[in-house]
Amino acid sequence: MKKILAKALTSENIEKIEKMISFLKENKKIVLALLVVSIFVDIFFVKTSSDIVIFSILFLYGIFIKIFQIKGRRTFLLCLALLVAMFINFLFTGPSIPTEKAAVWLVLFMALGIFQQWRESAR
Amino acid sequence: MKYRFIPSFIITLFLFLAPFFWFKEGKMDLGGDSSRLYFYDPLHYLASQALYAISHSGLGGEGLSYFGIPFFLFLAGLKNILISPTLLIAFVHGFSLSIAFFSCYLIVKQLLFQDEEKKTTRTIVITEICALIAGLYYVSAPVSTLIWSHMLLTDNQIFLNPLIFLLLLRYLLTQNMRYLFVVLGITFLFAANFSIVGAPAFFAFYPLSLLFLVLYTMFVVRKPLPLKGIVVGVILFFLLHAFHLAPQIESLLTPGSPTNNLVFSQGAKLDSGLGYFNALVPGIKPSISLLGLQQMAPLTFFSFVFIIFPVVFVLGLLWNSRKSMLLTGIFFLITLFFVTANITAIGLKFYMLLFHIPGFSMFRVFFGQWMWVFLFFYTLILGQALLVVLARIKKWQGISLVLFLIVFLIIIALPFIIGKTLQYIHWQTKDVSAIVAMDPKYEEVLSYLRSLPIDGKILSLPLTDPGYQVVKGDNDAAYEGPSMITYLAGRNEFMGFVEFESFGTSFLKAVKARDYVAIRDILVMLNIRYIYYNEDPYIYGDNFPGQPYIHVSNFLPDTQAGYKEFIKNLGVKEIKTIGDKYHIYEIDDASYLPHIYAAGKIAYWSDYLVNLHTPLSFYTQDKRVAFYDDSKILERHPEIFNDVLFKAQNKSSIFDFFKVKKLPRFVSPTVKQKLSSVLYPFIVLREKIDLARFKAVNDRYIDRSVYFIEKRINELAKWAGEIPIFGNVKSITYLSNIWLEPKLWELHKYKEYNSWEVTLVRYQQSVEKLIDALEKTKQSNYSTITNKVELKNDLIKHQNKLRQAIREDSAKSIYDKKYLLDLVDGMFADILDKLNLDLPDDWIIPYEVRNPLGNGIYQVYVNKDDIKNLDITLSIDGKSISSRPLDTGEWIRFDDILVKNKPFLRVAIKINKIPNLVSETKWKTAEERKGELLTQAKVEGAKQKDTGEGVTTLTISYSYLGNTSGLIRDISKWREDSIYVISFDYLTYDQNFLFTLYERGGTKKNRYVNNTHSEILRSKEWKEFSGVILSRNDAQSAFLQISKDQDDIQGQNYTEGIKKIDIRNLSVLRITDSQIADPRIVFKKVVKAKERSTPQVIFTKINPTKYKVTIHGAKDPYALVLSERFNPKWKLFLPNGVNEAKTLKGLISRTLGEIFSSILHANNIVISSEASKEILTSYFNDNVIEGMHKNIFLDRNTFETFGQDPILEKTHLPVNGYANAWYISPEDVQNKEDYTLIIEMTSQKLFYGSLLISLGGLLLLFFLFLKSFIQIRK
Repeated sequence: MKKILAKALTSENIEKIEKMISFLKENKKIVLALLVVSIFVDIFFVKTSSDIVIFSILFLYGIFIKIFQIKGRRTFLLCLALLVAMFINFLFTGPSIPTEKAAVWLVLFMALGIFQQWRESAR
Repeated sequence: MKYRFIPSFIITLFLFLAPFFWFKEGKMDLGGDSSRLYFYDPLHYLASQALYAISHSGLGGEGLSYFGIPFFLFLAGLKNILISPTLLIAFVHGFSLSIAFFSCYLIVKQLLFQDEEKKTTRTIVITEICALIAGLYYVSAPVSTLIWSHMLLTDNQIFLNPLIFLLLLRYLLTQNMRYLFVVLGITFLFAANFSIVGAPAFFAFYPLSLLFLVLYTMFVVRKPLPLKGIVVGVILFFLLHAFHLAPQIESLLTPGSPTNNLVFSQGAKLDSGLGYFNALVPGIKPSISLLGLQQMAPLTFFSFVFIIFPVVFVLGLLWNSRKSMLLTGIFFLITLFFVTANITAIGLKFYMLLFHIPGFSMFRVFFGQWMWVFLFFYTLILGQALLVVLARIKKWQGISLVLFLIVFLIIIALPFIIGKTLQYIHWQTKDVSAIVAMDPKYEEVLSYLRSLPIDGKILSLPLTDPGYQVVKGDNDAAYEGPSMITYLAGRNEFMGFVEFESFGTSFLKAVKARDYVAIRDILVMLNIRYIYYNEDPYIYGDNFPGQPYIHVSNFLPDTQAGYKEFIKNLGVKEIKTIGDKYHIYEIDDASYLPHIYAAGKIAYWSDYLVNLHTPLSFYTQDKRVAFYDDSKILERHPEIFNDVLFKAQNKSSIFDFFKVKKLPRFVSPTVKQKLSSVLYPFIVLREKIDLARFKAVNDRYIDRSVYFIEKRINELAKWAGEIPIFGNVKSITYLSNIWLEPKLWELHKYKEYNSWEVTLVRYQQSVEKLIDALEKTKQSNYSTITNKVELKNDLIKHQNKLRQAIREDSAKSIYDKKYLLDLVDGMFADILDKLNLDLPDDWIIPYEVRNPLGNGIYQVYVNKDDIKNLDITLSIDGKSISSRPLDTGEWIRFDDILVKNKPFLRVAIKINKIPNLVSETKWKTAEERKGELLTQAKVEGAKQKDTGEGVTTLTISYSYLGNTSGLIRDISKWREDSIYVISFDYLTYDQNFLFTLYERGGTKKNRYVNNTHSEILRSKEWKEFSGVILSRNDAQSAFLQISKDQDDIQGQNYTEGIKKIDIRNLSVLRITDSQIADPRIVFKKVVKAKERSTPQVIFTKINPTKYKVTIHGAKDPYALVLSERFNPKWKLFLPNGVNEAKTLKGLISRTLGEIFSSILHANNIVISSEASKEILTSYFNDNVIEGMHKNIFLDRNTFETFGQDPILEKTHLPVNGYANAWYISPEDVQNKEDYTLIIEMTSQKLFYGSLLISLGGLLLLFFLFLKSFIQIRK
């Protein structure tokens, strides 16, 4: 594993990664907005539920937490938005597929937020 | 702030008092699964249900319910003070409710105060408010109020969970052992919640909440764990609970025991566990749980308001700075996962994997089992989050929020607080209330039944389905729940059909046929002495049209008058009438088999003993017979049997036509790739690879093959209009012989590859390959016929689907449609021809006798009833034998046969003439029948004409009426549960007709006309139709219908005028009367055994787990029968000092037994419930004497078998299909003729031992508790 990492992390690659990170940092708002929009598109417009989509987005968000130093509070703000999405769906369609998808996103982001806050409070 | 406790005390007091207004004096919420009769009569309930390791239901057997002892004693004590059971129920409800609230309030308060660094007046007030709201939420949440109707014994968890959590929290924070001792005392009192019946509640709540407490103490409060105290607590817990845990653990670790099977068997883990879970999981919604609503319940118009709670959580987390709340949040999410399961597909997969853990199947109703722990953490996080929110928002906003929450909680809890939720109406009844005041006359019945002198079982009528009893109360309400005769009178009783277990079907069959001889035989063998009958019309009839009589009402009389007639015909004697409606009857001594008897005859019966009357009908005089059905016993010890009876097994393959495969069938496949897609060849390839993976043709392979076969049909049906047609193929079979699938590189063949014809070739080849495989397979659990029948049903479905697709394809010309329809019809004709599903020869029923057939002479019997009105010839190994004109009761005796060195006999019954059931009826038009099909307008054109040579021409003018028109023919003497062969030749002149068989049946309350079989008929020349039909088990009559079916090509035949079908040789034959009662043939071996004497048996019941049996004059070997469900834990002891156990365990238990016996003897201690009257009852000319039954729980003789080895364990075997029997030879009892035996259930012995441990533990706990006070004073 170490060998593979050592191979991958050549100075050239590190430079590329750093460039990418700085690019992401420069476009932080757009990147985060895209991520949030993709979650809401998934809730409102995609009828099927895919773990690949869910965990990819969560993984990306996890990376962004690291890169952008996102606080737990931000995550709970997103939770609030997800809760609103769940409520709107519940109000009009009852416990339908979009409602349940919003609920699952909410639960997952709550878990992430709690994890973040725990780490923040430990520091 | 010294008055801050006042609101909480007021609410607690209010919650305690509220239940006292729920029921008027005398009324009780009894019934439901746990009966709740322990509130009504705790002491009798204790004696009947908890003191002994025995079940009083039906056949008896081991029943471990010791866990209830402390709680029932506690209730008995309370009832002594409160007198009224209504007050007792109100007290317990009030106690549960108020403690639940108060504990939650204190927990939240504790958690909030622990976090607070600066305690200002404002923070104290907010904390109080938050704790109060959390406590209120816990008791008024929709999921919380759900359980109060007919609470179960283990539903005490509603207050036990928060109470124990609170005390443990206090213990961990203060390290004061007294909290721990109080917890242990509570667990002892409410032991049911810590026993096997409380396992789901226990394992859902305690592991998680204890983990929470540990993490909270270590990482939030940062205090060390009092490990020493915890170890002491765990040891004390096991000591206190030894009295119910030890017998239960022993049962759990005994292979083959019900508990062991429940936990470790694959069936329990996956079939009833995971299978049940999978059925429920799609209906469970995470959003509903997040809102705190009930799963699977209809939403109300204000359900959306519950969003306020998750909003508070999220806002609380958003503004939170406390670790304790984060910890609660983690546990809230964990419990949310367990209560919903539907958190991502990976989460669901993980949940499903958990079912492989032994015992996890207890969580199959997961949303109910995890609900309480979820509610608990929901409450905690609500309290904590609310504090954060209130501290953050403005004062007026806070006040508004608090007022809103309080008002909302009061509104949602109002129906519950005023007791409306508990005003329960019995399910499927005509508004019969479940809040019942007990009928004093019924109390007399219970008292009378308790005092009955004979230790026989009771049959209760009207019989129900699940063993639930219905008794009208003193008010306009009824008790519906587990029988009071079982639970309060402690009598073994058959109240429901299910309690007859394997004998249930034959009992109901005999009842339906009003075969009173068979009914009495079944009652005799099941040791039923009394019949209790409640003639109250309130409990049987209009008020209870459904439950609990749904199934049995098809067999038993449907009115109380009918029941009276039924009982009268049973020939039983009425011995008591109470309140003009409760009757008790007694079966006479001559036709009663006592609970314990020495069998006069020992017989071997080669079939399963599910119909006890059949073997017993050979013994019309003395019914003291012990029937063994294990062939190994006959092989090893043929000398013990007086009679050897072989029932010939019906080997007719006709039964295979009706076997339903148990495998869960696939859902019809969805098709995504068009035939023209470049990916399609890969799909076909993948299917081939998929099938090639199977090493053998087993049921999974067959299922998979049919799945792929059906895909071809679905493809054609979905893209019917887009798929090209060659248009020049004579038949699919012809094309199949010359067609070769193109290779991947043969692109020029792609167009051919996609065609209709080639897809049909692919379909036909796959089906034919499967048919070949079915012919050869030995790996399937089903016969070739069963597999072929299922395949044929699929093929018919496929044919209809294809015809419909072609018919509805608007893009095709009539020519193309006709071309395709001809191809499809031809293909299915060829496939069905290859399937070769011929009916068996219905005139000859083959049988076989295959058992350890010894050499010798055999008497041959055929049951008279089964071949009534039939002209039969019986042949054995091809030779006909004739009947003898002897009167042998229910049996016709044939010539004896000599068997020499034959492993089996081939037997056949040839039915010389089977009556044609339509020979005396004629075709009629639908309106002539004025039938049940429908009320239709006048139909003119239906006619029939006999054209000679047996051909009937049926003409139908109006085809648009579909199944409402056509011609109908009655079938006479149609019976339930019988097999029929329907056959005829037909010619439809290339038109579609629909042939349908309708059955009528049901009960008076629920009549039906049901389409049992239908098939489309279409032919250009004479064709034969033959079908084999199994009638429904409640069918009473039937008729055939021929109607015009939709033409495949619309409008084509409308111009041709009248629709015509010719029919000839119509016959409907009943092949067997039923699947079970096919003509019974029995071979009875002529055994020249030495005549044996039957010893005298005198037996006395000490308690339900112990019998004393005195034997006199046992010169010969005999079988001692105990008519209780067989259990290896019933042991036989010969208390003479010779059989003392030579082990250390034996020495210890003998010594302890002697010590306790001498203590009890010295102090003359006897703990006993009422004994029966001191009457001796004798049967069979004093050959069996029964008497002076007692219910001694503890006296100086209780320990007399401790340290003794049981005798005859190897000859302890099941007889009569359920009972215990010991085969006793003189040498087994030291060649004595007169001796005394003790029959004892050993679980009870283990209980006595473990009870001593628990009592010791209780004393120790008491001592430590007192000591903790003394230490503090010092």
